[in-house]
Amino acid sequence: MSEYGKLRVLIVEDELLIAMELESCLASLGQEVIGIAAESGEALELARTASPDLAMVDLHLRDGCTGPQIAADLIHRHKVLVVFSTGTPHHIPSDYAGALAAIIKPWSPEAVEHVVRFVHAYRAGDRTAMAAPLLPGISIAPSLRATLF
Amino acid sequence: MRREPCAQAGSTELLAAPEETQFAHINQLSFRRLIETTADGVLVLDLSGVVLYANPAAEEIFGHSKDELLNIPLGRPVASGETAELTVRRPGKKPAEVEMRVVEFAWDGRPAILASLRDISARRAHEERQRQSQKLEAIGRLSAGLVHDLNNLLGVFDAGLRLLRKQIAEDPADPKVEMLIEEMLKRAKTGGALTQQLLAFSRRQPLTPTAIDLNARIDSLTNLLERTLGGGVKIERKLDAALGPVLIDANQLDVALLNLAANGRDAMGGQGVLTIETCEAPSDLEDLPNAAAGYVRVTVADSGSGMSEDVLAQAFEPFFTTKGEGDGTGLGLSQVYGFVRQSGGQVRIDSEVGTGTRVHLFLPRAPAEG
Repeated sequence: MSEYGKLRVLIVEDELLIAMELESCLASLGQEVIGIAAESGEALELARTASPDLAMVDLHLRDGCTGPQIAADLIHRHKVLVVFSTGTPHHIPSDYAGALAAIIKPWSPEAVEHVVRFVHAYRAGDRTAMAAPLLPGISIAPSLRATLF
Repeated sequence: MRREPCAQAGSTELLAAPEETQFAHINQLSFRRLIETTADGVLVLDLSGVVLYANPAAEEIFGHSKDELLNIPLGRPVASGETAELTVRRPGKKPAEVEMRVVEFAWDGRPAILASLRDISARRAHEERQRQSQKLEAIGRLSAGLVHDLNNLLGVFDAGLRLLRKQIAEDPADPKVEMLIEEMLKRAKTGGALTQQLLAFSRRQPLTPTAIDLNARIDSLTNLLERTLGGGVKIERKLDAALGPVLIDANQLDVALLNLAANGRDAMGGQGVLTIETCEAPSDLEDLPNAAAGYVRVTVADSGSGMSEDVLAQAFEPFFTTKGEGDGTGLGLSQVYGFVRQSGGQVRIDSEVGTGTRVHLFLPRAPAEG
């Protein structure tokens, strides 16, 4: 049923219900959730053992505001693409720690779909699809945005 | 402030027995000039509290000439070694906050009391201003933190309910349904703890109602309001001069009026006329407790955008704001409401989209004295 390929997605989120809903949204978009981590250690362990393609990372986790560091580790050590999922977008580092985009909580399932579409377009190098309009609660990393528009 | 103890000890000694001190070479006239020139008020009282001597600074503090002060009782029991603070009401001037220290000594061979007085009104006023700005800041900070937490919680409920809807549609008998409900109940408790925190905050401000002149309070606040609201807002006062005193916490009343004025300014986009009106309240108002002394009404009115019925219905709710993120705490009207209700009064809002908003505070009148 999916119009996209299947990505292996890691959810890094300490709110169980939000993680579960994200999992449910991603599954209905044909994506495969390989695990849910509530803090840094679990996230990096899952990245090592389950080799995800994409991680959806909250900023504030069980072990503090560790989202940006997790993102940097996932990107540089595990070659995982990262999208932040956060209610405090002003806490995102100005360089997005290398993440592609952020989705602002509380998000709708439609916003999740837009983000997934964007990540697929990025992987495919499809700049036209990447530049397609996104819902207001999604922001693209400034450096990436600069290359698109 | 740091030299106070020295000054006190010195002056006692000087008056008690100057010839025995190292200042023995200074003549009587010089001592007299010292006392007459010092910025601190100096009073000599007999043991029953009658004034025997007052220096010019003391005259200034009491707002009475030396002749008026001499031979009248101070009207307050004085004990040696005590530091007291008193409010001195003066004819034609603002009351002065005065710190008084007292020592016993001999005056003309008789036991007497030497009182040193210092006008600390400016210091008190500064402290009061600081307290007030701290309170406002605290409310702002508190709401910012709680808004974030509550927003998170809302996100959780949002997600939980969508999951639940989906799960029930798929298979209502799945144990996951039960688990989702349990999880959300658990989180609702967290929300309850948050609101308790807010309640605790509002209760932590003990109200100290005193009989105050509402009109005078509004007059003295107008300056601050003008500065707070910016040049585009003109403040008009329509104050009923015959109004009796109200029984209210003056500090919180200031905060309430500030909050209302700030709302008015925002509703008018920073340009317009803000009216503050006082008058007697009719005695047959609904939902007012039957206070024997009755109520007065203070109304803050703007000619701004007004509120729709939906907005009006939520206007008193904590954190409800129509202002942009970072602009409004959503606690302004809830402070007004909480404070007025706690004071035994009532709040009403008349508002219509496009014509403006009038917020009426009904404040209990102070019972007649005696």
